[in-house]
Amino acid sequence: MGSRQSGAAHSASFLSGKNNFNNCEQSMAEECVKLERVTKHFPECCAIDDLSLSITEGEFYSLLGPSGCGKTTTLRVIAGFEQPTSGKVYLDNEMVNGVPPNLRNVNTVFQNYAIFPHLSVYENVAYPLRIKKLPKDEITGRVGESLNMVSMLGFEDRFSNQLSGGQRQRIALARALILKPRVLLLDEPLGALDLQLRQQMQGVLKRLQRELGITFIYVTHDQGEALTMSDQIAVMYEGKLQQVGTPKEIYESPANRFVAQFIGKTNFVEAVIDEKKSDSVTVHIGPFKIQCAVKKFFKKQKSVCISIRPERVVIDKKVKRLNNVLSGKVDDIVYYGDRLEIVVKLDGTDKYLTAKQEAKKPSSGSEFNIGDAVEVGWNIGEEVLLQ
Amino acid sequence: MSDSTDNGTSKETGTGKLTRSKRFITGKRFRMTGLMVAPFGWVFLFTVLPMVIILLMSFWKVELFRVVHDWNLQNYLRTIQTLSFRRLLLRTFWNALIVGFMAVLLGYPLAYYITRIAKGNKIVFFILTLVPLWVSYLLRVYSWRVILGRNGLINSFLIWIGILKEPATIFLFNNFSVTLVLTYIALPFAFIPIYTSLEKIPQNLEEASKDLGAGNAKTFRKVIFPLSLPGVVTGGAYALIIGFGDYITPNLVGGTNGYRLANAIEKWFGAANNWPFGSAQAVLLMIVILIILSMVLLAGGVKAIIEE
Repeated sequence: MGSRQSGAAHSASFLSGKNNFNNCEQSMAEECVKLERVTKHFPECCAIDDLSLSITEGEFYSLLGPSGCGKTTTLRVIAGFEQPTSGKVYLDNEMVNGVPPNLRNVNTVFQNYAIFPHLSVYENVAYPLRIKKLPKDEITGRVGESLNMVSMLGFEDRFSNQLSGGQRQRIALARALILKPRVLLLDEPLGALDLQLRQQMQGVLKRLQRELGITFIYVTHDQGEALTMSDQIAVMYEGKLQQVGTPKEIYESPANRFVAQFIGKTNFVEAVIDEKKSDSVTVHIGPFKIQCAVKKFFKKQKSVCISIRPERVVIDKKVKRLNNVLSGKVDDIVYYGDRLEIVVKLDGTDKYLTAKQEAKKPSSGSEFNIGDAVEVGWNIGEEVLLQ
Repeated sequence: MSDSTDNGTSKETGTGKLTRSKRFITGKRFRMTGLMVAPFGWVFLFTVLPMVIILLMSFWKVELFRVVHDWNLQNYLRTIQTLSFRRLLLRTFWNALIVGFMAVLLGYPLAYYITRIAKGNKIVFFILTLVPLWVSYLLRVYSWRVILGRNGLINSFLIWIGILKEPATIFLFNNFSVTLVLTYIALPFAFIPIYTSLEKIPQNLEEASKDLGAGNAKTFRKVIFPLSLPGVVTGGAYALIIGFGDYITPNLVGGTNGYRLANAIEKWFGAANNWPFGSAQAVLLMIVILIILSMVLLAGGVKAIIEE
């Protein structure tokens, strides 16, 4: 009963919980989950195609992609709800193909929380412990600890339909974490919550993950969420892995067009190659000559696609001290409150470039009007060349 | 916030039109009443009125083969005091319980199989289960005579494989055959509520249970079965009521051993020609069924309160 305290004693009790969790595993940077060339076919479609992933222990790992890209199926393969058509799944270097979900040291937070409607909050959280037939005292203690961890003490006797979406979310978390799993799988856990609650829960999840040191595999279609929360992001599209990397790598050096346009906003401009050097190429977009840094090998080809983020595009009446400068006319201005997006039609072409500008103080002037002649530009290396 | 202000403004601007809309509603209501006359009239004429007549009749008595409007409680007192009536009531109730129990016992695995295992062909199986309801009730009871009778399927088969030398008479015209056929009749009615309640259980609850360490058996015991309980209770109650009040099945396949309360009531209305006495027994039968139904509703209500 000691752990059924009010919120005031929250952090102290929480720390003791943390210690328990850390006892499970002390070794660092071990490979925790590994998928080796996993393919999953469904009668109607191919959900995952030749997917290999390696997830390090203690990471916040996001599977990011549009709906239907196979990210949830990947999660279900790891949880054991689906068996891969081919390929191998490893948990802690042990192959788990064919092992049912109840025998895997992995727990899941389901998309719609899957709180048992016929059981109280207390019984929901105690469920895995009751299955293990633990002594009553231990169950009481651990349920209290777990509820405390998600700030839900005092809700023990409620039922699922007496809880708000955010509260159900917390209960699902407490229930999934009570067994102290090696890996926690989260299937779009914040999808059903409104924006404010979602941001609050993002903080809760991130804090829990950091303090418990449990590997989180987080499925989301929200690129903003993935960028702000993850240590590693795996971007998926149509069942295939597009790119794996830190949020910065994914954002700054997208591997292909899909990644570039799915993560954040970007300008795609087709350009024709004029000259190749060892570390740069010269291309032209209509009448403008542009220098681009080459980060990876390009086969002999005539044209490339330049991806440049709107916030990297400098816009002014006259742009100075930049490698690449293009002129154009303001075609459209979109107001976002904290920023403006200015769409510029480049002179002599039918191509457009969007520049992002932080909102200025009202007094500072120098605002653009549609039809103004402007210059846009960026420095070499701020763009990404894609095939 | 913005929602509530929106509502506020729309209400204010709408006040001018309120009277007109009110008139419209009353007009609609009037037309609805007109539409409801037929169904309500039907229910009143053929359900409510006969029951009221039976209720009134049960307080009258018969003198010289004619019903006399002489108010008394004799029918009830005599009925309750009769040992054979109490025995018959108990036996009918007991056998109805068996019918309810057996229908659930058979209907549950069927519903479970269709909802959880035969997922792809759900509709086909569901319809197949209900196909017997398309065939006339009488015909279905008669067909059991073909199966169980002296020269029926079972006897022919047993003689053919050499277990019996002569046809046995133990299959038909006894208590067993009545309970068997009533179970068969009641099965679809027990099946439908169970099917519905199983169908409503989200897949992810089952997965959550397994994810949290429970195997198939424990998942069934701790999650699926408790959540399907409302359907089990409702289905069982339906089957029990069918088993309780039916008199055609005992008539056709029951013989003297399969005699049930409803058959006794029929006799009072027919051969014995004592309608008040039969009415009193019918009312008692109805009261027992009402008690069962309200117990089921109460159990459901209590459950709803817990869930609320």
